This record gives sequence, C-alpha cells and structure tokens, in this order.
Amino acid sequence: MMKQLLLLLFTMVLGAQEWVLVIRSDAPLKTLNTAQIRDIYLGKTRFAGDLRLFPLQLGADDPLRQQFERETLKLSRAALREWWIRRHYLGQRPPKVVGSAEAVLAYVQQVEGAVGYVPYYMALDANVTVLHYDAGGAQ
Amino acid sequence: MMKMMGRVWTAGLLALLTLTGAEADEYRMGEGVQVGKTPLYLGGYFSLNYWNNFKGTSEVVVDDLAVMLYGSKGAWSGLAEVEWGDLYRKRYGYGAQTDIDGTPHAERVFAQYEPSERLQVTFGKFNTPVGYWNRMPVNVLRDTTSSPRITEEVFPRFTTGIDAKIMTGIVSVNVLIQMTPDLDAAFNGDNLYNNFDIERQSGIGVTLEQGVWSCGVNAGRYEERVEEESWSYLYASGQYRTAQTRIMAEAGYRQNDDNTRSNAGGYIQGSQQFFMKHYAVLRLEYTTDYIANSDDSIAVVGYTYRPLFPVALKGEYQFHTRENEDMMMVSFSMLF
Repeated sequence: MMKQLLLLLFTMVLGAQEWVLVIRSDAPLKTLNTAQIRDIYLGKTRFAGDLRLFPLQLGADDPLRQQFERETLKLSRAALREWWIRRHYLGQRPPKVVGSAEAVLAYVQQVEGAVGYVPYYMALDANVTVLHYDAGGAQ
Repeated sequence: MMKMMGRVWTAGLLALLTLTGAEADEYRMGEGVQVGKTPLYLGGYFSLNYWNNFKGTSEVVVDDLAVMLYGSKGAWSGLAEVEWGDLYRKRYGYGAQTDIDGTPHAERVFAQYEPSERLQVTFGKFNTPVGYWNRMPVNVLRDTTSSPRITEEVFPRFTTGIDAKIMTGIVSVNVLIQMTPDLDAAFNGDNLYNNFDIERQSGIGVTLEQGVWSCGVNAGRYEERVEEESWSYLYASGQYRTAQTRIMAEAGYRQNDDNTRSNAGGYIQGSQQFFMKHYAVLRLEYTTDYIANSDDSIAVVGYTYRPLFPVALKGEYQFHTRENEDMMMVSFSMLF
C-alpha cells in the first residue's frame, strides 16, 4: 500500500505516469511494442493471430489517456477525432470508453481479447499479463 | 411491388431512429449514435451543393441525404445504408427546371466476415475497393465538393457481389466478383444507383501500405446490362498522408472488348491543413472523353472550413481547358 502511494506521489510530481498495457492472464499474447499498440488503438490491427482484440480507453479527461494519446498514439485529440469520424463511415468504432482504471482491469480480466492501459502500480497485484511497460514521459 | 419494397426498406431503417435514446453511448457529432444498448450504431450524412458557371446557369442540389446502420458481433459485422440522391435539384438560367426525387436507394448493404487478421470477406453491395477516392466518396469526407472525373469514368463505383481480401503484413490482395444486377434493382427496377448499369464484374487489386506511404494497382472487367458492352480497366493509385498533409494520385484506363472505344485520365491532388479548421486543396486532372471526342485538363483550387471536423463548408473553382466548363462550386455537408 505504501509502495503504491509513493508511486502515485512520484507520478503526480512528474506529471507523467508509468503505465502498462494489460490483457487477461490466459491470453496467448505476451508482448506488444509501441507500433503494434498504436495500430490496435487506431483499429488498423484487430487481431493477434486468431485472437480478436478489444482495446479499451479511459474517459476523455483522464490524464493517463491524454498521455497515452500524446506519447504513444502521437496524435492530437482533434486528429484522433478525424480518424474515427472517417472510420464511422466505414462502420468501425473507436475503442470502448471505460470509466476508470479499476474498471479497465475488471473488464480485461473478464473479456477475452480485451486490452487496456492502466497505471503501473495498479497492475502489480492484478491477475493480468503485462504486454507493454512505459516509463512515462517523452520517448 | 418495387415501390412497396422500397417503402418497407425505408420505414425499417427510419423506425430504428425511434429506438435510439437512453442508456446508449454518449453521442458525439460525426460518430453515430448507439441504438439503445444493442451493438448497433446509427449515423448518416447530408450535402447541399451550389454551382455557377458565370455564363447564366447555376444550380442548387440537395445531393445526398443518407441514413446508415451498422454493427459488429465477433467475427461478423454489417452495414446498411439508404440514400436519397438528388433529392431536390433546381436549375436557374439555361434549362431552368426543378426536380424532386424522393426515391430511396440501397447505397451500401453488406455483411463482412473477418475470422483472422489475414482474411476479410465482404458480400452484398459495397463501394468497389479501387483507389482511395472511391472508398470514402461522401462529400463531407472528401477534400473537394467535386470528384475527379477519372473516379467516375473507368470502373463501377459499386459492386453487388463478393470481395475476398487477404492481408499479409504491408501487402493486401483482394479479388471481387459480381454475377447479378445491382442490389438497388430489387427496390427500384431500372432506376439504378451506380455509375454503370452492370450485372457482371470481376476484379483484382494489390495494395501496399508502409507508414505514411501507400499505393495500389487494380484491374478488372465488367459488362454493361443494356448496351451489352464489356469493358476492361487498369487503375493505379498512390498516397502520402500525415496529420496535416495529404498528397494523392490516381490514374486509370478502360477499353471495350471491340477495341473501338476507350478513355483514360488521372489526377494528382495535394491538401494541406493550415491553422486549426482551415484546409487548402489543389488538384490537377486530365481526362479523355470518347463521346465528346475531346480531352480536358482541369485545375481545381479549393478551400474548406470545418468548424467541427464532421461539418464542412467548401468552396472551389475549376479551370477547364475545354471551352465553357469553368465553374465555381460551394457546398455545406455534414456527417452525423
């Protein structure tokens, strides 16, 4: 508990969070690089082998989502909106919005193929597979 | 019977409007609205156009009004779209007249099966997967109100049939086949909704995509229903795209089986976002016309203002080498 609080304090001071991308522990997928994550969150990649992926994202105002979009997807909010509006014409949807990191973990544990990003400290004790670790800040 | 089927089709889609409401995802313009708590989403688009050739003729057109419904479940997804094209057209000056056409058309109705990252099968009526322009041809998502001539003169814009796409890394290959008349014939008889009245078509395409670059080549054949004339075509396309800049080019050639008629053309277009909501476009086109027996080179200079991305106010001016065809076009379009 103390470790988690210290990590939280650390990230608040720096303004950028350590985060991880997680999937259910029994999934065959074990690792993803930044380019693969980007393709999944832009709907370009919808499978890992034969496993259908369901990316999850936090609410629009969540600082971790803003950091994820800025540093991992490398797109502004406006550019992302444009991307998904074009995809709407093709019948495709943006990643499902989940209200909190706790809800992301719960969703990932229950739904096969669901992947989501959460603060690193929250994944320490969760029964999930970490696909990617990001130290936070510009890469 | 046809009219009856059309009415049932329209009523069915519109009735779904009444199902949308509480407990659905929050609506954001341009991204559709969830139908209750179902996996279905409802959206649509609209376009109002005006052109003037400054030689005494101008026209106002409600060009597109469309409603679409789509959703996915597991490896399956589907989309149905009904459109009223040329709903209202009023011409001023030479040939002045007013036309109102309330006929709904089946623009796209397809199901898609995607069992893995390597295979995608589409069947029904869909945009023929050739080039870039034809895959996203609605006004609000285009860079200009007008479309390059070549995108409407070489291959059928829509396919009613089956398309199988195989994807391996940066390369994808698709094969399509059509063995029936256009799906819209089931609702509207000969009042078809395609640029060519076809009942047989086949095609193959190869696409490469690497980062901000992509390109493709397509080849195909189709048979026109009434004229009983068969055509073969070859089409090439390429694109460079970043968040603010897009450069695209397409070129095509078609020839009939008798080797008596052919046409060809192409375009290169650059568009650049400047400031937050403003876009500039320059397109250079060349096209041949076997009926008019003349060529035309066209320069299109355009500007688009998007107060929100799914809402577009566009203006363009076309300079033609063919006499008396210069014109100005403006449009208001939106996606909802």
